[in-house]
Amino acid sequence: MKRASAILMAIVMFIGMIASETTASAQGNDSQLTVAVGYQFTTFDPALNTEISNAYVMTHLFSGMFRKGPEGDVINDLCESYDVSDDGLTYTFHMVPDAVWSDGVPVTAYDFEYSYLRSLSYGVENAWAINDFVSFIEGAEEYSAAAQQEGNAFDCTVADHSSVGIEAADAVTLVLKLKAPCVYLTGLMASCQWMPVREDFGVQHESLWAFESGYPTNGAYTLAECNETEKAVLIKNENYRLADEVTMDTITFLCMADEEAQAMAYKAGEIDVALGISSETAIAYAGTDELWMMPQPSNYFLVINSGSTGPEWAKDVNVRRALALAINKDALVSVLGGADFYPILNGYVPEGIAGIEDSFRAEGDADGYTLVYDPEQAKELLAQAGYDAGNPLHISYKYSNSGIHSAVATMLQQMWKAVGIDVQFQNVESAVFYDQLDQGDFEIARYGYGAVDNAIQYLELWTTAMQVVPAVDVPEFDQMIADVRTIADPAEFNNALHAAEDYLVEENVYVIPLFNFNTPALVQPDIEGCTITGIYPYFAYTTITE
Amino acid sequence: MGKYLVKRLLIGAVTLLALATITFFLMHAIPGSPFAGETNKLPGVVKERLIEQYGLNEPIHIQYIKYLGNALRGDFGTSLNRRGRQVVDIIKSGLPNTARLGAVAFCIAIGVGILLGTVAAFSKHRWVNSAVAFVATIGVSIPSFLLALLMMLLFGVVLRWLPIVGLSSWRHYIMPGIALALAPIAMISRLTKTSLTEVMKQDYMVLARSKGTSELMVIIRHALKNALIPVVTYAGPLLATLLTGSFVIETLFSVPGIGAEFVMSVSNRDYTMIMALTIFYGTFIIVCNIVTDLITAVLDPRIRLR
Amino acid sequence: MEQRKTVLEVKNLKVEFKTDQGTVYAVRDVSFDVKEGEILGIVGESGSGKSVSMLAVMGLLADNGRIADGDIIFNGENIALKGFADGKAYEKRMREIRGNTMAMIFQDPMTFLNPVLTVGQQLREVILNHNPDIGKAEANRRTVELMHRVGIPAPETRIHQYPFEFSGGMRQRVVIAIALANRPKLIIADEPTTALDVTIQAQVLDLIREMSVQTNAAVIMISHDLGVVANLCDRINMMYGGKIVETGCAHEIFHEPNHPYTEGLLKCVNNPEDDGRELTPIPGSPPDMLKPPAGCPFVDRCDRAMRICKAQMPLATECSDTHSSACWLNEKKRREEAELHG
Repeated sequence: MKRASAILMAIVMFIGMIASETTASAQGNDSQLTVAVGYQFTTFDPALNTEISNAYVMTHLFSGMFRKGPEGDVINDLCESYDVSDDGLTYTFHMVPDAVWSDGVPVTAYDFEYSYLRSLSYGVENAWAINDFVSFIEGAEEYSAAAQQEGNAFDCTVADHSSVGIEAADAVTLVLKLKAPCVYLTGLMASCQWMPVREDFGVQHESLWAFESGYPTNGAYTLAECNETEKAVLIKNENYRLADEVTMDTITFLCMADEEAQAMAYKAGEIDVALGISSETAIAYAGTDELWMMPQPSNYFLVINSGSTGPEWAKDVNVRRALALAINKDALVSVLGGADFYPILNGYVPEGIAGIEDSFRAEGDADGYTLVYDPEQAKELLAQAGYDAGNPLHISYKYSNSGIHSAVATMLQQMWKAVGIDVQFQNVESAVFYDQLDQGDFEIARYGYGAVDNAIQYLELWTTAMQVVPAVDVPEFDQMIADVRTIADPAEFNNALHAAEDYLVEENVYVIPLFNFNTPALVQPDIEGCTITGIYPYFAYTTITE
Repeated sequence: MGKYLVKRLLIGAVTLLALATITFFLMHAIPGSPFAGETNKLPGVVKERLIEQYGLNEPIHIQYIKYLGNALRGDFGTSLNRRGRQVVDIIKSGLPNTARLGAVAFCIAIGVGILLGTVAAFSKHRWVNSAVAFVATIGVSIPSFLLALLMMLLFGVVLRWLPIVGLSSWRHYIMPGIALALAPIAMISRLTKTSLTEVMKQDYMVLARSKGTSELMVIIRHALKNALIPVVTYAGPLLATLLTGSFVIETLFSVPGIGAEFVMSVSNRDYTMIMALTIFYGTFIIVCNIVTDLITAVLDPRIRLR
Repeated sequence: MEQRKTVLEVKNLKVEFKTDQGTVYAVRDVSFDVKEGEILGIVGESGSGKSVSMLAVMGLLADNGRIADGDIIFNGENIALKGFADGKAYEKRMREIRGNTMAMIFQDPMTFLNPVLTVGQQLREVILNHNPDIGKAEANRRTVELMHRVGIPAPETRIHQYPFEFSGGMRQRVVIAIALANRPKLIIADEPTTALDVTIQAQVLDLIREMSVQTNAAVIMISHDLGVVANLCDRINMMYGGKIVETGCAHEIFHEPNHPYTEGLLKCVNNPEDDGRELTPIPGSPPDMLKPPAGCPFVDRCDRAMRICKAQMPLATECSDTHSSACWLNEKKRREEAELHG
């Protein structure tokens, strides 16, 4: 008996020792933030990046000509001022004179010139990342194609780029010549792809250097330590232009793929900010000040395959309209968790995209929305098209089984059933889902898109050029978008886009928008100063209160 | 012994080739492409260009022959999802974490399993036997992820005794190690107990005692070796399984290892990664099995001369 | 004949086993002795208690067995449990004795030798147990010598071999070598030839006799086979139902059997001198030791059973100095003779 109690004592002491060590280490250094993201990092190279999760880190490492404020407004960063020619095709950027890299070397326009040419000539892998360059900058497409011919042998520092509209006139002046007007160019230049790297460390045709620690950066932080499947540790860059305003010394980004694990780690106090939580977790924290809804322009909508590979019924606009009228968006959204998490979308371009005076969406909704919930109308339209109780419409709805998609599918099925439509499900895995959508192998499917700069990025998705096997195959729409691209005046540009949106959604119901997405995050109550740059959370100005 | 080894290695190589071939063709037969996916919203035309660049539009048997040729030269290609990274590098960076966790789990499983089994075999009290059997049943019935979640909740969130993210200190290994070890503990304790009980009843134990050897030495010298043979047979493949990781545990505890990588690469249709991991796992399991057989032969001389 | 020392004296030994069905009374009041240089045979069928009584003497009973009562005097020392302060002291003393002054030869060398240890290791074990200071080299030397003594050829190489590499007869020689290693005063052989071919049996029995003569050890030979004990033993105990029913010297048992069990057993044995005689098995089966009979254990199978046989345990009748038998028939005969002679 004595021995048993001695052993018991030893175990209790051991546990006590472990416990105290754990709580002690959690207090640690005050100026240290731990942020959990939901995916592993795939690259930190501006030439290659298209993913949001990488951008979370990159916005802390790099500065570009511009950056975005919390409202999505465009703010000058390394650009002090700029001029635009009358035809909107030539932009001259004047840089701030005293910006330096973290190793003290000045940031020059030559860095920008090198970076953009490097991106254009990187290789096939970054085709999507340079899409904006190629779409707008004069000569970019040809330059990129020529570089691809040569492959890794192409050296952008020696090759002739005189036909490309990128030129550093001097150390503080960058000139960009466009082939078509781009009213939102400065907004584009705030994104990661337009940030500079320096010739000596930003090696051509290769991006793994960005995961090594120690290379010079021009943003608020440098990369101290990185293991791309696990974490990235950032420490304050003392040479940053605005270093005096930076209050957080160290930020550790952790890759945690599992939403539940993040929620638990947050509850346990092991992470300060959880960026990749599930909507259920978010709903559980609704009403608390720990829940941080980050604006993230992205929409959830249904696309109908009215193209050549689609079903017959999809070609009839009245049937499509009937489908839209049968949906009660309020009910749908309340089942998913409420309008706080899933604000209803009556346009197609979501909230968060700028218009002229107001957001694009607010402007578009100002004149009302014709496709409001009206099941009686829906039934009438179906009857007109020849479908009724005796001959019900059969449709097949495709979705991938993750997140809220099944809930949405079930709700939609109910609502369509209520107007006499019989819905079959096609439920496939994500990888298969997108593939089948590309190939036009569907009747009606859910879809979603997230772009941050301009409404045209959403609308151009449904031009035939952007689709592999077009589900929306409408020459008039293609023409509308092509025409828009020639417009230099922002107000005119905007109005033309509204017209295109109305055409796509209200007049012809090629897509049926449902709701906006917000990205929920959790922030420990003792943390203040989290802000947004565009759509990315920014932590440089955070502090931990006692 | 040498001839036996050579024979096993040859069979292993053939098995590996069959494994690689079947995996290759199956993998390409599943619908879906590596460039689709929730985070990869590339327009279709871009995806087509990528497919062409990676040679994925060539006829399947050409792809196979090319792959085999490269693989035999040690070139397993770059990951399709993490472009630029060699798959071998990805495995090399993820493997140590998985292997360390697996090794810890293995030691826990063997240590606790044998201990429990021995206690159950020798205890005169019925309740000890029942208690060990109960633990064994729990270990086998409760899914490891459920136990992991419960532990995370209790020790990580409520009590805050143990950390739940990553593997940065020795304390981080405790919960995932236990979660991984639970089912093996159940199996090993049952095996040890049954085996030990059987061995203790053997005639040679009586003769050993009749020589005047103390009971402890009789158990150590005569019972242990015989009793552990079935445990070794189980432990070999167990080690292979544990060292190659568990998707569930690694995801839950955010361990940057290759267990999670394996499942994710299938979801992502990262063909080069899938092939490299399959070949790696296959080789590892084959080697572990051979080593187990060799160790068993060392323990049990009756097996040797075959 | 000069007085030979009594090596082992067993007095009123009772051995019980605790089982789920109840207590099994395996040995019920057994007494005998054996002197140095003497070969005592204990004959009986399975369940008669012959092996159990000797395992009890060695202290090798299974966990659920115990010596319920009785004295076991070995070389003048009472080594029954009651002769010690507690179980630990008993075990300690027994460990000094086992393999040293008292040793056992077991029945089936295939199962009684450890298959994963070499023969050398298993022999060295018994030598080093009782000679801890001699070192491995000397132990090896003695092992080789021992193997040579029991007639195992090429012992220097065979010392490294495993039991399965030996033939049946050779394996048994190893077992014998283990028993003889430290020149015991008492050798207990529990059916040492049962598992062997007939041709090998003779060799092994010869070896045992030779060893006994060489060392002047006392030997107890347990067997169910009368043929085995016939040529070897000086005296024989017949056991049935946990009791000794008859005891005498070999000649008396074979040529003047008294107890019906002994007679019945002899009738079962095929005597090459009697051609064509039919074998007569003893009908019936051994008694249930959970509920042992109050009277003679053989009563249900005896063709001359009387009423008293069932009711009371027969007393031992002395037929001669060396021959006694526990049977009511003797009493009956005595009364008849008494009547006859007035």
